Amino acid sequence: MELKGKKVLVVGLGKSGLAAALFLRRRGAQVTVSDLRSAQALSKEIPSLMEAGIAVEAGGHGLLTFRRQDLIVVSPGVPLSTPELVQVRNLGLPIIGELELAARFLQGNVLAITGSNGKTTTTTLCGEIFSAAGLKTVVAGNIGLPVIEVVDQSAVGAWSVLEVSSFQLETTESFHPQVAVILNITPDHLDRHGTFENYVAMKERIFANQGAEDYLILNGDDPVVQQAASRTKSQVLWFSRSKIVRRGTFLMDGMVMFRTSEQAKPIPVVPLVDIPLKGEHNIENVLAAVCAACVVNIPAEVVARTVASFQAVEHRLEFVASIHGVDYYNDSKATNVDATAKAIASFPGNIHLILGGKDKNSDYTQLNALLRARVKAVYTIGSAAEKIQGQIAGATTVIPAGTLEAAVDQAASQAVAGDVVLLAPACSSFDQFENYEERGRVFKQTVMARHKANEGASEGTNQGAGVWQSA
Amino acid sequence: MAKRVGVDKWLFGVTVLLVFIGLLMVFSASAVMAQDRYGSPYTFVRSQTVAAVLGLVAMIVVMRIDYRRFNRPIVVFPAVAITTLLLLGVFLLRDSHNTHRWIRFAGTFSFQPSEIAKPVLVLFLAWFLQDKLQSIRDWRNTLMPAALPSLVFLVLILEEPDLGTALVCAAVTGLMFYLAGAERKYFGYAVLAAAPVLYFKLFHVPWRRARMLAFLHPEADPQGSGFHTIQSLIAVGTGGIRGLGFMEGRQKLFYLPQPHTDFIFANIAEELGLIGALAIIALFVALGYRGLRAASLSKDVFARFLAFGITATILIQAFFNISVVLALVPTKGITLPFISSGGTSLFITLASVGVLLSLTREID
Repeated sequence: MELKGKKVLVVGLGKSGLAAALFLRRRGAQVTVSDLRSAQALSKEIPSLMEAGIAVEAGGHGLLTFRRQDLIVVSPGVPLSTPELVQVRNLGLPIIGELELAARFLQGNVLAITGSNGKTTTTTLCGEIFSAAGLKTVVAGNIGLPVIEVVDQSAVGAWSVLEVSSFQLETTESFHPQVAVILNITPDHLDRHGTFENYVAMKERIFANQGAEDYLILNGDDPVVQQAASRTKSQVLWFSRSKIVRRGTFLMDGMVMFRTSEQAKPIPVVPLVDIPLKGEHNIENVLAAVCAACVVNIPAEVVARTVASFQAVEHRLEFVASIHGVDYYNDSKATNVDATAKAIASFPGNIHLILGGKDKNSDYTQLNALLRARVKAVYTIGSAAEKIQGQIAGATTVIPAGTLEAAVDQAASQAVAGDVVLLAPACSSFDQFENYEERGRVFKQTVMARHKANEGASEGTNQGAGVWQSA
Repeated sequence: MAKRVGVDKWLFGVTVLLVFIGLLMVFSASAVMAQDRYGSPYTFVRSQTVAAVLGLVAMIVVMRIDYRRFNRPIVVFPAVAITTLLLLGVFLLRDSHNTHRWIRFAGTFSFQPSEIAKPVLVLFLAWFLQDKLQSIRDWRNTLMPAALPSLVFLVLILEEPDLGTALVCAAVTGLMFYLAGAERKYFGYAVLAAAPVLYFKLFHVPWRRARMLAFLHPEADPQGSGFHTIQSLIAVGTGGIRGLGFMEGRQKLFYLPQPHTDFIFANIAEELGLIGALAIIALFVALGYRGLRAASLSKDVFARFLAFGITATILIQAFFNISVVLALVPTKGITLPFISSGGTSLFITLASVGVLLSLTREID
């Protein structure tokens, strides 16, 4: 794709929008960016853009700005239903996303991972296994590093391991991973995709361009994901916790096993006890990663070694500290009800759960059974607090805390030895924090401050080394 | 986290204890009758001991097998097919007690296919329903195909005739559908469809009609159809709080019919009293608690259904059996799991507990 001299508009100045604009400019395009936020709000980004020779439209979208382009690149945060985008699409202007832009320049092989939950863990683990096997590997995508930023590092024979969200897949055309993984599909982001069917269709775009020589790895335990098998041309492999699959990874006699065909003898890859990750859903993530690694012929020993030494991802059921026998876990990345349910299910009981933030039109009543069985008390924060209280009242004690710091204080005062304090808010963070990372950091700082205050009196911190003890 | 911890020791221990108590009570209940009928007091307890040993061995073997090995069409379909054939087979073979419940091999070994039908039904439903939780409202593609083998089993067992086992199968099937989230209206339809059959079976089969009437008015014919119920209640009442003592029961001496099988709980209540009876019930409650705990803590849907189905089968039978003894429901011919004399039942129940134990290996 020739960009020199082309007029390109980047809509939305998120991390990936910014990266896309700078990339386009480096390739000689005439770039404009447009964002609804005011010039003041964008004061950090604007100087570097101006310096690079990029025009900036802030505080709203101008229809004329949109019409004058050869190509429009949309950030994942921007809905395609934005009126200006609808208008120019009707005019026939090509509209693509950052991922699609990157896909057109990526060289070498692509491993793409999508799903409602567990993407980051699986992507990170895949990246580590591929690197450990001596393959030239870059990890990027939804994980925090825009794909467009690693395009220049990609080369023939190298692997790009990408975490892709449904938002990113929505605007792809030629994205063609050699290995694609769909971890699970649960209702999430319905505020954006409208219907569940739409959301499923978005996720399935991950294999739209795959052919018979490509691999599609699907969750054999997820009925929605299973249906994808009948709609693909690629070779399907499965991973399952409960079934012995024809091709792919499964559990048997306490081992993760892999086989390439129904006739092939299953190869034992890694014992379950060696998996350091906490939580049932993490077993699925490991099964998916092992499948992806084995299908590209990475030796079982390398996979086993990497899985056994894998450390958890920040903000994903991350162990923070143990104070007076109470364990604190940070799952700030649980921004929807399903992720929170999985977080709760990772512990047998005695949970003090911090819930709340900005509501995403979610149905919190789905948590009630788990709350009743495993949660001692819920501490609500943020703007969704009242709605949550209304929907879960009766299932467990609900204590309105307002802020995250207050929630940690209250939970700490209620919890007794053997209990777990868990931040898994089921909401996005945007009402009180910049993003979920900041929310997680504030949680960890608050907990660590309490921990320091206790030090000398209680046991030492577990943070840092081998914190993922199994129960 | 899924890992290899040991099997559920409580479940294992309670099961072994129940089997042990069962052997003692079968001996106590059957010794005099066996001496009278076969010339040796050990006739029943000997075959029960053989079944118990074989059953415990089967339990330990099955317990060591990864339960996922059963989660395959290559296991499920032959199991359903063979069970259907065996259920059909009993009609072609010699009948016993005017009923077709048994298949005999060379006079030494016989078994009841309807006992196998219970765990096979649970296995089939667990396998079939595991992927159907999303589409459970689609009756044509989910409810119908799942209900079909259950119906075939039910009809064949009903025709043996073994109403008790048929009712246990129907209850387990219903509970598993309920667990899968089937809409309530279908349970309504099922009850409506079953009502005329049940009415016909209860009031138009002469001996069952007699049993039904005996249940409603046992004192009307104390020497005839009310006999079972009255003798059973006499046994329970005689036991009082502390019982007459082990081997001291009197009702088993030709008053209480089937003292070692369907009415063994009456014998327990007589000899071990309220305390002993409550202890047995407590053991079943403990077993039920550990089984349902396994169902709720299991990691995958198949394991959950399997654990629930196996536990429910045992609990429903225990519940019905004890209810019959206490004259809370009409006499129906359901054995008390682990305890009643009956080799097939004991062996199969222990093997299914083996499956349950196998899946507890992965629960923290």
